[in-house]
Amino acid sequence: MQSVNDQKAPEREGATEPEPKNATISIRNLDFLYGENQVLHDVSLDIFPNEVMAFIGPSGCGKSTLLRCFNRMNDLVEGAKIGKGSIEIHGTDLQDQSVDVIELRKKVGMVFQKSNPFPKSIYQNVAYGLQIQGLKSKKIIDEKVEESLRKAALWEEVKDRLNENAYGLSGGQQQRLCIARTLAVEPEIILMDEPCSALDPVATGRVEELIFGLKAEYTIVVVTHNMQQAGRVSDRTAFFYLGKLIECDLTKKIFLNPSKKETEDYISGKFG
Amino acid sequence: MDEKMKSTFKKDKLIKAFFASNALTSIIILGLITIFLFKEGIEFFGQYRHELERYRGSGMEYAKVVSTQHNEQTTLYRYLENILSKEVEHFESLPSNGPNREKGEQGRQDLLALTRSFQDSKELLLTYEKDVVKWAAETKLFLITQNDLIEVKSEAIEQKLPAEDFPETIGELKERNSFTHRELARWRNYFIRHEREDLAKRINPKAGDEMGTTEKGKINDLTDRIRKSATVEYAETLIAQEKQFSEIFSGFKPNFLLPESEKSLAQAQEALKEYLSKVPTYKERLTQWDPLTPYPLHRALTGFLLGKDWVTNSARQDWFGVLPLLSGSLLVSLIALALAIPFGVGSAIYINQIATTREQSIIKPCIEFISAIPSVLIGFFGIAVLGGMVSFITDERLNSLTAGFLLALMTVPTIFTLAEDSLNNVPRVLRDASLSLGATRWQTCAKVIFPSAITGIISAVLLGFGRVIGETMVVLLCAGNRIAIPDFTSGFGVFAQPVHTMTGIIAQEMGEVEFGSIHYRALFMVGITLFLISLLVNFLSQTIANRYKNSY
Ligand SMILES: Nc1ncnc2c1ncn2[C@@H]1O[C@H](COP(=O)(O)OP(=O)(O)O)[C@@H](O)[C@H]1O
Ligand SMILES: [Mg+2]
Repeated sequence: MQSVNDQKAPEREGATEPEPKNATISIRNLDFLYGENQVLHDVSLDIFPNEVMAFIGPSGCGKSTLLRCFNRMNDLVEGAKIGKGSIEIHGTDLQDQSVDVIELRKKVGMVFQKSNPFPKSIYQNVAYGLQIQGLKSKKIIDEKVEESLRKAALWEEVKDRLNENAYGLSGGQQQRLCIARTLAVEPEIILMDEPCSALDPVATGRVEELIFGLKAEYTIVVVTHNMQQAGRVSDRTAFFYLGKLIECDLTKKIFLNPSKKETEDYISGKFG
Repeated sequence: MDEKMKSTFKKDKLIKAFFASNALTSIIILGLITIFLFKEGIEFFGQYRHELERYRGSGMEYAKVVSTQHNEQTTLYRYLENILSKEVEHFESLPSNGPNREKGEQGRQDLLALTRSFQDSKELLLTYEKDVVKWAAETKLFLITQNDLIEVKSEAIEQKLPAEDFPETIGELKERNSFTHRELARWRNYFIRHEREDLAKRINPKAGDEMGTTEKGKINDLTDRIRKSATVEYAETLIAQEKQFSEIFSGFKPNFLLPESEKSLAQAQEALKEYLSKVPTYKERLTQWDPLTPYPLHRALTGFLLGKDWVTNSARQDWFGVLPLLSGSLLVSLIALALAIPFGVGSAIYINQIATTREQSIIKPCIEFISAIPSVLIGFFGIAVLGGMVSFITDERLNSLTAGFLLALMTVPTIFTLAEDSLNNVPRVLRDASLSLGATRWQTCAKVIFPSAITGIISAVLLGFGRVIGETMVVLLCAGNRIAIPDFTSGFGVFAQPVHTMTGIIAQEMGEVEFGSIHYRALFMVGITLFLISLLVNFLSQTIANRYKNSY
């Protein structure tokens, strides 16, 4: 874990505020409601290519809700809707009629809080996303499964038991399997909702290492309420409180020199 | 404070005892039912063996062989009759003064003569069969009387009935082996007076004098008559028949109108040849028949489990084979399940995956209400409405299809509710994971949710099966109640056959049987079979459900 920090430090030194027009995801004045209950208030934020963005904030402040807006998983919740404002990915408004949710979700992958592999074999779990797209060639699927498992740093551990049930894996392995499953679909953006909250420190370390390594190829948004974790993996951090975005800045700045009083209180553990 | 604590403690204990005793009571009752069932049923085998031994000992077994042989001859006769009827039909359709008329007339006369002579020959065996049945019936009556007499006598001795009242002293009774008509009548009156109807009923004064004996040896005279006839009357009959058969056919010059009759005749002759080749086996079976060979007990068991006949109150012989009832029950259940599975599972998927909350709140209670309809009402509906509809497709209103439809209706709620539960139990995160990978709702349902719920659905189906096979009222009213193994070779026609079921037969016959009789015990054995099937099905569904519980 130490090495992660070492690697990361110089890069963060040189990081500067990117230009908004290059943003992968741009959120403008977003209000979000569950029925009558408004949970996001006027949120505006840009997320840039190949960065790791961390969402922090006390529980219930709307981090997951915002994350689930990016792949429209909130569609499944009855009564959930955007009040005003917009979310664009590469300039396309996600609420637009023409947006194909299936295609969107292929492009925006998601890793959940608690590892949730399918009750199938390890191989089947990773191949699932490809098979539902209609890919038939066993050779190509085999290759992609291996590639994804390698990227998720799981290949060496499971290559001899690909046909065993995924529930035989440890918690950390299961979560990396879920990441591999997401990677197999070749997304551009990966959303992670507290991916380590159910893992022990060693497994957490491995997943964090993995997230850091994936940055080169993907844009990653990770929700966490573990502040050390945000510090270890992210380039920038957004702090939410009571459904409002309080501030968003380089992770180092947020932790060392936050500009808002609430952020400072939260960082120093006064609440949350 | 201390007092108060003590009293709550006491109350706690009482409540615990109350619930524990409830649980215990149900377990004890289940145990008692099991014990009772087996206790009443198990004696069946001894009785059935006894019955089968009597079947053999009386010569009914012998008569059965003869009648089987005679049936084969009847089949041969049918061949000829068929040819004749076709020829006649064709003959009658000819123009009255056509050229073929005369030729046809001659041919028809010849064929008629052939058929008649064959029937006459066949009659020889029939006459013999009737004799044998008569002798066997006499022997059987004798065996029953003798058996009853021995039992009544030993009971009378054991019970120490008041000697001053009883026409015999106990000592005398022990010595005596044969009784007169008058003595038997006196006994009976005596038993009636002492309210021992059960004993009185078993004394048959008419059987007195020559039958009123408990000596085992007497029976030989009767069976010898049958045994000897195998080498005399029977052998003579066969020789005469064989000679006549060959004469009939050799003297016959075929003169047919229809070309296919030629072929049919050849077939008939072929069948005759085949029959003749089997005659020595019949002969051997009859000459080797021995009324005293004991029946092994396992033959009573196989006779029940694999027996193809369920015949009761028969003049010749009762048969208690469970197969026709078992196969009827299974057929009806399979039809019911074949219909109920798609409906039950389909609506469960609809409710779980597609329906809005509002639709759910309407459909679910409706389906669940079906299970609250009394089954006798469903039976009414089956007879009055469904039977009429079924009779459009098949000949009969009440058959396995009618009952199957109704049972399907009754079991849809069971399958639906349990299948819906198991779909509901699939963690939501699995659905979310699938959707987040870009799967459609249908792909998610078919590839993730359904497979994850499949063990639960299977156990739902098994429980549905358990419900169907145990259902009584509907099958009794609507299955047609014909006791016969459905003819599975008739393809789809098998669904149109009326059947009887295990539950139906118990409900129908239990009210009329004599307590403790073999028929009574046989019904208990049917009940035990049903019980074991239900137990097995329940066990299977629980094992599967447990496996399913452990898979997350
Ligand atoms: N499915 C839902 N239906 C209604 N309200 C919800 C739902 N999910 C979350 N909420 C509410 O939205 C608010 C934000 O929740 P969430 O986004 O999960 O917060 P976080 O992830 O920051 O803990 C909470 O007050 C929560 O009660
Ligand atoms: Mg959350």
